[in-house]
Amino acid sequence: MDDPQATSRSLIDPAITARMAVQPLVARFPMEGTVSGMHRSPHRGSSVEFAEYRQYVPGDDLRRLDWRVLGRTDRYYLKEFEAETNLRCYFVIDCSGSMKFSSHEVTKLDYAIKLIAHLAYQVIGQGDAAGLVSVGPRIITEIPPKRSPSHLQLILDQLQQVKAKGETGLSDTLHELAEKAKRRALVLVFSDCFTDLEPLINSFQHLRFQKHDVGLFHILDPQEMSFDFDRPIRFADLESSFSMVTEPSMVREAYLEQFRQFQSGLQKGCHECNGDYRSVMTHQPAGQVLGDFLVDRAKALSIR
Amino acid sequence: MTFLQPLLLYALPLALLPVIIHLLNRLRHRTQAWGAMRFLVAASRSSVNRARLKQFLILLLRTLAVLMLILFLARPLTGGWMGWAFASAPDTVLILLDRSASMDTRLAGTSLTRREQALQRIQQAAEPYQGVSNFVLIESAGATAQSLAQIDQIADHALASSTDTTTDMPSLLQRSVQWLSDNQAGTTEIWIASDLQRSNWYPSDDRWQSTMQQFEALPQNVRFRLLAVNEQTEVDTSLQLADVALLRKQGQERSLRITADFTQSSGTGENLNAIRTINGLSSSVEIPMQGSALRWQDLWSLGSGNEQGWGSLTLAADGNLNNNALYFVFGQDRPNQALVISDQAYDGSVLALASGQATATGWQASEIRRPGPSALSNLEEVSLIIWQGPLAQDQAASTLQSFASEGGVVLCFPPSKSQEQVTPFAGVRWVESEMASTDQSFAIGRWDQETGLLSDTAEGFRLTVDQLEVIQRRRIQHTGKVIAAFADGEPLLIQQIIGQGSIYFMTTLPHPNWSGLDQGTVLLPLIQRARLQGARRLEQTYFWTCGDVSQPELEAGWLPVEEGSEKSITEQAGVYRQGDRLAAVNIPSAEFLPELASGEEIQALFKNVSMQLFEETTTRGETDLQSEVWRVFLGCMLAFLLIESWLMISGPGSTAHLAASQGGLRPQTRSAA
Repeated sequence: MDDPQATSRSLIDPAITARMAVQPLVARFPMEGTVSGMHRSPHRGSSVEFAEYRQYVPGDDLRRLDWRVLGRTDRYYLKEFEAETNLRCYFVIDCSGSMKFSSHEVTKLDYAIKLIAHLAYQVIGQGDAAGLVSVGPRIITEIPPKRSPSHLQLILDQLQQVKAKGETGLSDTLHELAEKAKRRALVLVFSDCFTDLEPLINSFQHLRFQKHDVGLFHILDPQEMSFDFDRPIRFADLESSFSMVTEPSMVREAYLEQFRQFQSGLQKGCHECNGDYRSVMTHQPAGQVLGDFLVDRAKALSIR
Repeated sequence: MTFLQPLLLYALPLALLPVIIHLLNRLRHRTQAWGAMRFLVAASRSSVNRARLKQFLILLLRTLAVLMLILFLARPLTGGWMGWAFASAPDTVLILLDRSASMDTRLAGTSLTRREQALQRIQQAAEPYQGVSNFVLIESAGATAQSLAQIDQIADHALASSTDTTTDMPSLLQRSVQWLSDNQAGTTEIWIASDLQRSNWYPSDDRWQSTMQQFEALPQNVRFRLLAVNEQTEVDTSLQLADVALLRKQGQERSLRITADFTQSSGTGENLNAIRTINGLSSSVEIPMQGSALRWQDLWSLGSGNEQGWGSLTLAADGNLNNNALYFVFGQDRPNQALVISDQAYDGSVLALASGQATATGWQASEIRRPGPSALSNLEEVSLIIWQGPLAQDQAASTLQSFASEGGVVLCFPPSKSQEQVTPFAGVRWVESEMASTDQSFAIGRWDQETGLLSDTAEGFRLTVDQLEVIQRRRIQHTGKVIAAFADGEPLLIQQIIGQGSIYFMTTLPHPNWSGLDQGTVLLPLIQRARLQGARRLEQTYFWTCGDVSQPELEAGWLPVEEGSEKSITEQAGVYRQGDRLAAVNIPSAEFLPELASGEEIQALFKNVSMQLFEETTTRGETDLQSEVWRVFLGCMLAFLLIESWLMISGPGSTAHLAASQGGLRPQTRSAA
């Protein structure tokens, strides 16, 4: 039997972690953490980052009164600073049957696991909390976010055990998560999103409504986007027992059109709720995908 | 449609190959696990109808392309008749060629005659069959079937050249069926080339029915193809000899009275210039042509000599060169006598007097003989036999017919008493006699004043036939030509042409109880003219129609009178000589009847026998009979393949489209933020 720790460690590629180390994972919106950290907080705190002046109201701590202003103007003003807190990050992985598809050696599920493992390593490494939710027809496992390094091992172990099977209950799970997560958190979803579009977008909106930062890794196989078959084929559904024989050349154009509409609809839905949509192909290098992801988020934050 | 390689048609099921491959391909599908099934199901719903239609079209085009390829390789022949579809090349092609004079009428706007046009069509049509089928020519002027080794030279074949004969199409078909019965011809096609001249086809002839029954009874498959060259022709003027009479007057020069019929296919109203030739000496004559038909008569002096001779009247070249000349011959005056055979003393003597001749000693009546076995002996110098009494029977009848066919004239008068006449003579039978009412007579209604025994005199005087008083007449059953008739339509004088001569039948007697013929005003010129007409028997001159010369005469060896001429008496009109004898050969009168039978009428004649009619009415320059059409099928095949390719590379579901967008959809990595 393999050593579980060795197997878990094999999920982490040092080359990728080295590439990711230069850019921490940041939240695009203020987060609510329990301890001080590197992420913006919705509250005023004692960091070095000046926020604003505010008029004194009874009950305010007199220690925070700006005496220089009082001396010059004889008015009571408080000088406020940004608070900085830690990040709570939920990794949601779709374990439906369709994630099992692969046109080469890597399935979509494998690819998602790889991305999550490295991101979890990054998150815990920078002192933030990471949790894992694996979703099949319903929630299969749920690991709440914690900051301890030993928690990373738990997540990695759990990732080793997920299996792609059955239909997806992603939308319901995200609704449930939106209600369950009391504090603002970063929710990163790894899925092919082969489900009804409208409930999925609604679930994203729900998350955003709860002030969570939502990111979507839309993981796709290259063959799902090219549909380059040339002979009659019996297509067997990975999520059910349904199958159909068809001439690919007859339906290809319509299939691609359907796919295009779905993808653009999904992207538009994410955009409307300020979600971070990212289409990822399983043949793309994971290091590059993650590096780009981290840099893009940092850029988005600086622009903001 | 026929095919030169019909065996290849067995490969026609190969046309289904694309469909079979398609079905096999569908059965050979592999299974693919698939995640994005929702898009596939939606795509199938939305595009299946259009894609299926396109798929069906592609399959259809592939099938048609293979079909066209097979048909192309089978080397199809067509002439526009789909009823002949899928027939192979016949073993024998029997070509029936109408070589009548009318076939040499030039087609409007071309330099080709109908015959040349027909030969050209046949040659083109036969080209693909060369080396496959056996070609046999049966032409209208000859009697035998001639095998053609090289069909591409049929236009130059001697048996396909121009003639002045007529065509008897039922007879030609009878010869064909006879030839097919006598020879192992195999599957046969009979190609008939004709202008459909009604007088050549005899549509009402009984022989059609029997001939077609014979064709149907043949063991092999026989099909007819009729090439009707009945296109518009050039303007043509024809010239036909109606009558020629040698007039001799005591102490005067001999003269010739020529009667000719001119017919123009479309009247130009212009006078015609003709060349008159007598014994080789020519002079010009102007014919006052008015309208489209003219009966023209002229009197030509022959001088004081007494030689036999010949002549012709020729028109300038026009639409048909064959009917532009008429030929005649005239003989040397020889002693000729009339012979009267009568059992009635009075009638006999009147007839003998009327048929007598003037001699140095006065008027000498003809010899009278009683009917009997020896009555018709010693006829060497006799030109006219007047037969009064019951019609001749048996030996006498055949002697009289033979006498007439040699050029002599027989004039028959009825018996004075009614007798049962069972056997007809020369197509004629006397019936009962008929008396006019008291103080009444049978009035004469009409008679031929232009030609024949009762025609007007050369000076233009009319015979007083209408003043002839007839109180008794004998009715007659006949098939001859009526020269004179009573007002009530009953005939007075009948002519039955027998060979070179004629047999006339007068329905009344020169007796006071019958008529006023015995007064001589009509009887005398009638009998004298008959005697002179019969003198042709002794003159050794003959009038024949082209193609109708008897076999013994043909074997006698007749040569054209004109030196250097290469005419043949069997096929060309003209004047021919054999020893001391002269013969004028003219075009048969049937060729002067321009009426054409309609295509429907001709098709009806063939009844149940397969016949396809091709009328040369519009197109020119290309064969309508048959030609190889493989180019059409090759072109169709290429067109189908091109369209199939276009369908393959265009629109949804195409392989080219697949290749062009091999990457499919591009990943969208842009951050929504």
